[in-house]
Amino acid sequence: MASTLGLYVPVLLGMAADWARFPSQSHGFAVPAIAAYLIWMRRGAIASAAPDGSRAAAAAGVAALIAALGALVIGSLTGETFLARASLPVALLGVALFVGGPGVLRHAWIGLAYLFFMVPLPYLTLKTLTYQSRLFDASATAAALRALGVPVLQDGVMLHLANMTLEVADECSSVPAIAALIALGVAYAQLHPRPTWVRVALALSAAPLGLAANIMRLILTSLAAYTLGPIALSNVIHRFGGTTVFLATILLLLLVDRVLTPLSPAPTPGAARARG
Amino acid sequence: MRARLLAVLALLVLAAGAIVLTPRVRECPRAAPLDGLSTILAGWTDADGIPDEALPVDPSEVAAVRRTYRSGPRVAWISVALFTRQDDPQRRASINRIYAEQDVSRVERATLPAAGARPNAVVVSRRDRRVVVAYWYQIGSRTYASETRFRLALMREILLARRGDSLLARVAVPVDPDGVAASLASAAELAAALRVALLAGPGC
Repeated sequence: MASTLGLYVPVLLGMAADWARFPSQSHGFAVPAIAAYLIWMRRGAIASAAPDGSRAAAAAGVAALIAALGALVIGSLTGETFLARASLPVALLGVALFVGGPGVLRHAWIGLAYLFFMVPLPYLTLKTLTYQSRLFDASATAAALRALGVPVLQDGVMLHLANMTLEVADECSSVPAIAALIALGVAYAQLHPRPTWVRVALALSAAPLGLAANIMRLILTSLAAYTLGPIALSNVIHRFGGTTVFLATILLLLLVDRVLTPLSPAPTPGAARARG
Repeated sequence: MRARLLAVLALLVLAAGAIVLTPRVRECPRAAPLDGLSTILAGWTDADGIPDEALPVDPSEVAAVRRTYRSGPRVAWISVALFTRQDDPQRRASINRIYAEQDVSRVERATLPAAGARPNAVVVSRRDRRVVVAYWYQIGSRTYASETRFRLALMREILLARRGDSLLARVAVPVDPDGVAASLASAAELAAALRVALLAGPGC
């Protein structure tokens, strides 16, 4: 594992530079720590898993490792950073399967796979999704404002109010933060022993909850701008939009958890240990 | 266990060797593919210089031709930029600088009325003005409209030929009172002539 990480030092440094440079990717700093915690939680089970000498598992593990290293080489030589970066979790999963066997992988995979969340999405994809999200957010905000009796004219991503024009800019879209929101949902779902379906529901609900929280923020900002004028754009909710959406998403996740958890029977202590 | 750890180490050393020992990509001579681009394209004649707000300059371009072409009352702007050594992501054309993005309220995909290879086309609405922008990439004697296909072709070129050069060609036509269709037709006409001229150029 240490040698594999050593080979990836230039890739990791490049990723860390991106995490520091782009606020929407700053969750990358937390991902390795959370991944390490997820593995630490399972350290007993991993240590007690007997090494498996089966050839099938070894072949699958070495195939994953070779594929990952191939992606690293191609990505490094061609400057396709996403390819090189995304190969790291695959390489670690391959090493775990090849050296430790299926028993180790069964307990370690969630922590290793969690590292995918530290990889910034390809910008080409992100840009297209962000623009579509801006249009959707502007339409939803305009519809809500009309329903509230506020006169508004929507022109693409521009919202023309009676007293000023607002733009749903790239930074106003929650798409760039979607990876952070999904990572948050997965980490939250893994914190306590829960039935698998609740974990999946919590992980999947983080992104839509984040999008909904962002639209609420846009509606509140537009209402404030209509009522108070440009001063409304310098308030805390607007200036720290990403943080506001993140906190709102955590609150909404807690709410979903409070609703879903009572619907499932409490796990037996044995089952909790097996999962944890 | 020990044998498997040694196998992992051997694979890591092989990967590191492949990354470190592969020769660097060669660089296209600056401006070579842009030399001699005709000042007359399908009846359009040029005058130097175009407004930056029509087609933004990309700081990564190593050479570029930027001209205004006219045909009767019609006006169009073209930009052909050379990007080299694109194994370094910082030296690639930025998709944020294909067209001006500040104060843009709407970007709509459009289709140019042309047969054969069609470039990308978008109608960009900015304040009270609209502009049709057609653009495509060229590697050697091949052109690409799709960003994904272009990136795959560039990867192949870098890996197999150790070359990382490409052109980004753009044509912008302001939308006139006759409507978008007339501007799309003008962009298609000039784009087709520019494509032929670039393919006939000296290349790298």
